[in-house]
Parts: sequence; C-alpha cells; structure tokens
Amino acid sequence: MDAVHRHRLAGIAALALGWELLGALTDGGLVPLSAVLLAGADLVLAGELLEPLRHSLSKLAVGYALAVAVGVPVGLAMGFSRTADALAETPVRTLFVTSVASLLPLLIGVFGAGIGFYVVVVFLFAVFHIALTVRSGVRGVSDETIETGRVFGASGVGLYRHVLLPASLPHVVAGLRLGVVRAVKGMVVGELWVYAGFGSLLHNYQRYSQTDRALAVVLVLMVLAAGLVRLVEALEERYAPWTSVEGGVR
Amino acid sequence: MTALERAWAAHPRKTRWALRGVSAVALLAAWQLYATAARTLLAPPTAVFGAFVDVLVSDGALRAAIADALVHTAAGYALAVIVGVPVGFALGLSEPLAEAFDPVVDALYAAPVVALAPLFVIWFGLDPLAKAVLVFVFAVFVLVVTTETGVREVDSGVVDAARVFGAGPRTVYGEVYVRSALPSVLTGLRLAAGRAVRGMVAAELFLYADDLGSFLIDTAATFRMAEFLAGVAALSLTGLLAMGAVSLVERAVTRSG
Repeated sequence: MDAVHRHRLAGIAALALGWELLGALTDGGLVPLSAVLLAGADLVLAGELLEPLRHSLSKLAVGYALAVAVGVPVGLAMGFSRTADALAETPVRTLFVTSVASLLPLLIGVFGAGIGFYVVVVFLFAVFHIALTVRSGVRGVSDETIETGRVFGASGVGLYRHVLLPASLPHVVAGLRLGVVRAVKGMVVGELWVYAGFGSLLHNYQRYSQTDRALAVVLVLMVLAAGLVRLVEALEERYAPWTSVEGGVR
Repeated sequence: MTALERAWAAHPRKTRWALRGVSAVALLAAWQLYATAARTLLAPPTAVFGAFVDVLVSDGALRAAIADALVHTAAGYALAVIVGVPVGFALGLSEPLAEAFDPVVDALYAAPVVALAPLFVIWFGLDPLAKAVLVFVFAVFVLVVTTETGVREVDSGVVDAARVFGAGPRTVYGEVYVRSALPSVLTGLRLAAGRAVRGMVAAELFLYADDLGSFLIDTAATFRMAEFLAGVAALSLTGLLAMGAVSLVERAVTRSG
C-alpha cells in the first residue's frame, strides 16, 4: 500500500473516529457513526431504500439525459461560433444564476407532482452548468491545436470532426461530470419539495426525530452522487483517455 | 479562410453587442407576445417588471423580506469564511493532509447538502441558527477547494527565494503564501457568496419560511405570476449583487496588493 492510500485511509478513519466520539459525547444530538451505519444496514435489509432508489434513478436518468441532449450541443455551438455565443449568452447566463429552487413553488403548480415535475427540475438544475462548462472548454482549445490541424490538411467540416471535437471532448466530459452532480441535487430538491421518495423518507424520520435513519439516507445520497461521478469518470477513461480536465466537481 | 477562422478572428465588439441586444429583445418580445396572446399562466415581461418595481421599490415588502433573510445568510457566510479559508490553507500546505481529506471534501462538495435540512430541523429546531448553518454548509466547501488550490499552486521558487533572503515562518506563511494565494481565495469568496444566496433560498423553502419563503410560496400558490417571477428575478439579482460586491473588494485588494 503506498503513502497516498495510507493517508487516505487515515483521513477517513480520523473522520469516522471523530464522528463516533462526537456522537457519543453529544448524547442525543449527533448520532454516533456506528449507529448510523446500523440504521443504514437496517434500511437496506428492510428494502426501504430500494423503492425510492428505483424511482429516483429513473427521474434522474430522464432529466439528465434531456439536459445532456440540450446542454452539450448548446455549449458546443456557443464555443465554436461567436455568433451563437452572442445570441445565447444572455439567456443562458441569466438562467444559470437563477436559483432553480426558487422556481419550485411555480413548477409544482404547473407540472403537478408527477414525473414531469422531477424531470423539469433535474433538467433545469443541470442544463445550464453543462452548457457553460462545455462552452468555456471549447473556447479554451488552443490556437496551436487548430493551426496544427490545418497544417495537416484539416479544413471545413474536417477541422470540426478531427480537431475541434476531439480536443473539446474532455471538456464535454467535465460538463457531464458537473451535470451529474447538479442533477442529483435537483432530484433531492424536487423530492424534498413534494415529500416523495428519499424526500418523504427524510421528512418522516425528521417527524419522529430518527436522526440515525435520516443521517443514513443522507450518506446514501452522498454515495449515490459520488458513485455517479465515478461512473462518468470511468466512461471518460474508456472513451476519452487522451487528456483529462480538472473541474466540474473540483 | 475557413468559416471557423472567420468566426473566431475579427468579430467586432459592436457586432457582438448588437447580437446580444437582438437576442435579448427578441426573447422578451416572444415572451410578451406568447403571454398576452396564449392566455397562459405566464405573466408578460412588462407585468413582471411592473411587479418588480412594486414589490422592491414602491411597496418594498420583498425588499424587507430579502434584507431579513440576508442577516442569517451573512452569518452563515462569515462562518464559512472563518472555517473554510484556514482549512483550505492547511490542506494546501500539507500534502499528506490533502491526501487524507481531499476525497471527503470532494464528496461533500458534490453532495446534495439540502438533504441535511430535515436533520437541521431536528438538531436546531425552527431557529435562525438552522438557516445560518445551512448557508454555511452551502458555502464552505467551495472556499476550502479554491483556497487549497491557490495555496498548492504557490510558486515554490518564490517561497525558496524568500527563505534564502532570511524570511522566517511568519513572513513565509503570513506574507508570501497569503499574497500568492490571494487571487484564488478571492475567487472562492465570490463563488461562496453566490452559493450562500442559493443556500438562503433553500433555507427559506426547506427549513421554515419567513417573509421571503412565504412570498414565493403564496404568490405561486395563488398564481400571481408577475409577482412570483419578480421575486425570482430579485433573488437572482441578490446573488449577482453579492458576487459583485466581493468582486469590488477583489479588485481593490489585488490593485493595492
């Protein structure tokens, strides 16, 4: 085991120990980690998490897929063409800074509490972050890369196909990564707002002050977000291994 | 010349601004037409603007509500700065510490922290403290990450040079590191201000509603669309102003620094 892994383990162990001790000391407030993990195991064994997980993932998948289908092309267009950028920048940035959470009371009135509501919330949470990350990535493709491509005979469509798109792909992946994080946030916000799925679990545990179970659900959601980001990273290593772009999550 | 080069090369500033203006006007016009012609719930932009002036300036109900909410937000933001910047410094200075805690910081940064809201109700009750803590959680991780990056990227040559010229730890950490990492820290402060305002909205909607939350919920529930959208716009504006205020500080500090 190398030093990095040792340090990483030590860090997690230190935090777990700190949580455990703090939980034991603040009797009744923060629940010790061991109790939270037990509660989590209980929830998993009782199958209480399965149903919300299935529903949430399908809402997440549809909303995220839509956000990618819209955000990536818009971001690419804004990056490649200054005209498209000038046309789209004002509305995209305006919506980017708008707090989607503040739109919840309206969205619930318009879409009801059906799947459409979640899809729209997830979509709105993710799409502008994806578009702007992709845009700034494409904008950052260096002139040298383009110049080299031209020297080697790429022009017109070929320049896009063989130079600009491959050079932009890592930035697209960075956008997809940030998009996943935002999409999970959107899903949780939506479910909390209508007391559905994980949101209804959290609200129920709150009502009966079941801190251990509520914390277990929060941990599950954290792991879910981190796991989906890992999934996108695995896809990146598989399909765009030539360079990786920091950013998105970090 | 390829189309791409033509597009990238000399796209005069004037054209860009003209295009921006055209797109904004076209969108507003389309919105106006759609909202007036198609008898939907959607209020036309003119009505939204009227409501905006009304609730923020002449009536001022929303202005007072936002000002109230900003008090908890400022407290949470201040706490995030007090905790986040030193933690970021520590992680940036020490490689082992960063290796130990980076994964957790990343996971927390990516986590849907709004899920903590029900827990905060258990722990803090329906108390302004809960709101401040939620804002804190919203804002703190971006500060840790940006500060850490800024400190890590401090040019080690500059640090060595300072040491060679006899600078003690106080100068090295208090002057060299702080000054070199400052731009990154200031970026973090700006981003955190935006996040704090988002946290404020989340606190109003998911913890308990004061005037601001009630304004959003009531106007939406009674389909007073113009007022509701004016409220949403006012919140966006609040976020932009908060970030803008930090930018001003940023510019003043880096110029004098």
